[in-house]
Amino acid sequence: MKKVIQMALFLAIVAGLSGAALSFVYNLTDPIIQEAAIASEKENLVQLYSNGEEFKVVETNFGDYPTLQGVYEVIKGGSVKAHVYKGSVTGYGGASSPIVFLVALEDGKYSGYTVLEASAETSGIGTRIKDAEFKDNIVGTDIGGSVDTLSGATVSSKAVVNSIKEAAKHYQENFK
Amino acid sequence: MKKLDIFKKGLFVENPIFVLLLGLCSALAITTSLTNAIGMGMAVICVLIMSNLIISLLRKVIPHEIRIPVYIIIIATLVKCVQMLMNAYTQELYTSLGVFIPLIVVNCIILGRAESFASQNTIIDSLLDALGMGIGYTIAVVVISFFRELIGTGGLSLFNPFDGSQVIFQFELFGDYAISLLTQPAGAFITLGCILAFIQFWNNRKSKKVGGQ
Amino acid sequence: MGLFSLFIGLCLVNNVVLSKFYAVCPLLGVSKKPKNALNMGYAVTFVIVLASAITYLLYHFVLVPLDIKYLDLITFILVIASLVQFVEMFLKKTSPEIYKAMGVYLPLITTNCAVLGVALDNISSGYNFVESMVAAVAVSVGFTIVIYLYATIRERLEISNVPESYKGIPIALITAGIMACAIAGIAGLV
Repeated sequence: MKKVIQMALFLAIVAGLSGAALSFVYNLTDPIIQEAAIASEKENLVQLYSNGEEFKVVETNFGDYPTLQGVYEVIKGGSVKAHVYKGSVTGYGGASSPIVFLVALEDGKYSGYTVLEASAETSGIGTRIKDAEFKDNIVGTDIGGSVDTLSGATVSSKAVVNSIKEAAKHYQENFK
Repeated sequence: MKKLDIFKKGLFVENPIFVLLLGLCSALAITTSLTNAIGMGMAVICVLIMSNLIISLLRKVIPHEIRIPVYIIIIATLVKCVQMLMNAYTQELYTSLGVFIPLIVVNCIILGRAESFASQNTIIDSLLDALGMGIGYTIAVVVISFFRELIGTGGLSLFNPFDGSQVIFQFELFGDYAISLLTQPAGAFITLGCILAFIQFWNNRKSKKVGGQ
Repeated sequence: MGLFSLFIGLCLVNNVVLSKFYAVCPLLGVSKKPKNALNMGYAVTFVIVLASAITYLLYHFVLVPLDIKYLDLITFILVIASLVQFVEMFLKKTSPEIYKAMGVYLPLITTNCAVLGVALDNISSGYNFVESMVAAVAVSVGFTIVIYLYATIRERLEISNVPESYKGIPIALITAGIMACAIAGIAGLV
């Protein structure tokens, strides 16, 4: 009996030590990992927020939101000001060259929108999702409100609009 | 056993991949490029040295009955530390090696050396053993990835593992005639099969020579 | 993604043994007799499904709420090791016949990277519980199919005329390579 207790104690000590070591390394590396994760996205995010805001990756599960790729907190003066979603959807260019865009959600409205990648869309038709006409249509609309697609460029714009709907749903479920 | 022999046996005579056939899973998966192979080799060397060191240090303290769970805890801790450090400092390598970094835990080389060597030998010997085995593993994956990358892409390249944008060397010899099958999973099996066949051929020839004398 | 295409994808198209190299060691080690290979397949299936369920629940209901995700690896491997121990003891007590048939292979499963690999993949792919379970079953069925087919091929290789240098493991690896080619042929299925 004594031996069993001794062994259990030994295992507990080893496990405790390993937990301590792991938490030490975790605290050491986590800030660097976070920073690296945001570094590649930062040059895109400043297209929407360029007044010295800080960005942070929000870890989340996009299982039910297949077109969403990431969500970032926009932090100004220590408090979360807005959320930016990154979406990737299949437009006219097929699944291998998707449309990638960012949409910002702030104070109950869509507050910003920018396209990062739409090189496979038909020039002058699908690429209109980058134009001010489509952007103005999104920015200012209430979150979850309906956004019109572009007539004549339905495939590309509808894909983006559906993805924005997903972002709104995710936002309302997680950040409201 | 002489110290030098302990170190040397891992390199060739008891090479973990080519001779002992341990840890094939990672060796086949990550050998698509030289950079990945060297990165993985370094990770394995780190874990192997640390685990042999710790287990050899504790070999008189660990109760015999629960030694395997203790080894597993120690190895898993070390692997997770290496994983987090790689994620922080070698981002690109971390992404391309993916799940095979945490899978070092179940790499039979590490547990095998802990059980069969470090638990019975002094610290210095265990360190030499770990270094030999680790370098042996690295040599093996570098050889496999050399053939896979050269024949599969028609060229060779090596990037600085700490900074993926820094190219150490990169050249292309016969890009038009590359056999891209070798970069695919099937190519990994076939490449390793051919290397092992060559080793077998070499050994057979040697033993025939000895037999003939 | 539909559950069915997830199943077919993981079971055949991205077969874990032939495209991700999980569990290559037992493939080469135990698969000389088709019957043993099947028993190994059953044992692995059992452990993978149970381990996936337990690690999923532990990760999402213990590690994530407590914010100690960095303990995932150590938790998973301990769960798998104790699960294998437990299954071994349980079978020994309740059904000695099955234990006798699978006994030798059970301890080997701890170091079978498919078990840990699936547990880790389920987390990193963001599957929910049902998807994780489907993935676990798909992976183990895929493993069983491959190890069984492989064993039947190797049984024939034993009696065929193989060049001296290729005898044993080298030809076995090349066989696996050709099987991987065949699997790659159905890549467009899902």
